[in-house]
Amino acid sequence: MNPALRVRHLTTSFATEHGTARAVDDVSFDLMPGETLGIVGESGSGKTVTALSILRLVDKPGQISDGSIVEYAGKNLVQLSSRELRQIRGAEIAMIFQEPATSLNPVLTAGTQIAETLRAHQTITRKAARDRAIELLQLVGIPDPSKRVDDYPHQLSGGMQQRVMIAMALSCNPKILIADEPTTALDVTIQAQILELVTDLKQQFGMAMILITHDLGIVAGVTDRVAVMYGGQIVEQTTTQRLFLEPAHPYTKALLRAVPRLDRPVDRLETIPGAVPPATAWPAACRFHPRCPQLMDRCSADPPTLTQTSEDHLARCWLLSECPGSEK
Amino acid sequence: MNSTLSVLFTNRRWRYGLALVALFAGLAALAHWVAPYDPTAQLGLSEQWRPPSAAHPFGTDLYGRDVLSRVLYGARVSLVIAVLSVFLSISIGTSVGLAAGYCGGVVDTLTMRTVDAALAIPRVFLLLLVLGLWYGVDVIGLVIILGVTSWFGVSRIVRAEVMAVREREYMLAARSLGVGHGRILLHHVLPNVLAPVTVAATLGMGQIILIEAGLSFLGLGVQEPTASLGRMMSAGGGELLAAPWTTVFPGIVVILIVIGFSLMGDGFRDTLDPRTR
Repeated sequence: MNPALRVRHLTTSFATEHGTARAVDDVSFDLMPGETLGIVGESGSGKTVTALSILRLVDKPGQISDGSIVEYAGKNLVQLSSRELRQIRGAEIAMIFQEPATSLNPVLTAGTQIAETLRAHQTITRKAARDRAIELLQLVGIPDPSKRVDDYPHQLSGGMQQRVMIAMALSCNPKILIADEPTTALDVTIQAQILELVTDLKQQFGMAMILITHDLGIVAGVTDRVAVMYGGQIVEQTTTQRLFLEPAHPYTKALLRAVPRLDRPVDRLETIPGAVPPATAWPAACRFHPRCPQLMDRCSADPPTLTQTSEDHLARCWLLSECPGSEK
Repeated sequence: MNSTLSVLFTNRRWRYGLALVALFAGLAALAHWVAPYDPTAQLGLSEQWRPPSAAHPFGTDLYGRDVLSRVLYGARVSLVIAVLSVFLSISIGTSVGLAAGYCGGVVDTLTMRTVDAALAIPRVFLLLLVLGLWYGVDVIGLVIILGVTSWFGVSRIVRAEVMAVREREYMLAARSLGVGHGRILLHHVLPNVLAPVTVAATLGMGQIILIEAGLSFLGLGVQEPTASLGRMMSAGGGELLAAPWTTVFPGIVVILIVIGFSLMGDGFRDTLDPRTR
């Protein structure tokens, strides 16, 4: 089966006054049809830039400096003209954003914004676009859609706004949905509703989904496969189940330890010491080594490569080649 | 849109402004039927400089013309000139501002430096120069000159607004869904700048009326025998003490119209933006 999206050696860099920042560095992954791929990592690890790069939405001073992004029909998005790209965006690959409040235009009604997307891709009358917008609002679970269609974003709650965003994203039946922290700005009960809605609609529309998040709980509940990012690179990539059962990379292990657990009550929550370094100054060799609890001499000397530890499990760490199989 | 109107009507200033503007616009539009006399008809030497009376509520001028009739027709000329030149200046200013703000880079630099240069010349002197070269200008000419010399500020306002809007996340969201530049400009950016543009247009109306009155006062605007509020004040200026009504009434009308537009502009500013509701 052809992957819905095949990303190879994607590198996105930003020219800054402090030098070139390789915010995304040699990222490769496949997204299979119908699959949900989670991308996890701390703030600044390159998750969002990866998502924006897929749709070529990275603006100057940033640019995709290397790699390819091939969709299921074989088009390499990196090489498309802006006109061809517009036909892909929204119609084949759509994106929903973190902050529904700022992702909707405050001076346009919900219906107008959905209709805009429709009219950008299809020849459709104003009336038909409005009817379709009402249908979509119904689909994303907005009560009384024929009335809500004329509401401005500020008249909707955060959860409702995100539903409108989802309706916009789905309006042209995309094959791939990129969700960039779709629930981070919402409160917990709404989070659950939105996640359920997104996974339902994913099934219904037969989409593949890339879900970007820093919440491992969401990863466990929603995704099929996971890529863990650190310092602009993928440091571990495997199935969701295996990530939680047999994490290979010290960073993944640390992330998992930092999740509070009901069965292991503690006084203080685990943390990972330090912070993600800025993209202009990634540490040499292994980018995680200054914060790694299992630091070895080699870690600061040579950059580790992404190696296969077992079937469908990749990790970027020297521990794995030193003594394979023996994890602490 | 109905909700916008109903919110506007709750704004007291806007209501009073609208009432003033509507009153004079209505009277001016119906001048042909409302005015008691032909504004250019000279009613004879005996009717010269008559003070206000039942027959001539605003009195008569040097040539024995009815001041009330002339004020009504003059207001019509002033309003027509103001509406047309504001329309012209807003159109140019908005287009230039949209282009500069959205394209950025060279387009922005070129247009904005041109605007800077134009703004460096005091507007009145610019107008005096142009009108000095184009003597005996007609109403259309005046509209073009006033419109073409008053869009600079509007383009600045629009550009600033566009630059702020451009960086918003919903622009990224629109792009991520494949909405093209034209559609983004017209349907996403333009509605966002409409509020400040409406405010600028309304306040601009008052300004243009003042400028036109000023130019006519200096003898450079609308020419006799066409009635114009500025022209009437200028003609009556010599007899201000002897026949104050020839000057005072057109002056009061100018002031009321300008106040009306200012109040409306303030009202628009307070209510038009859905974010501040």
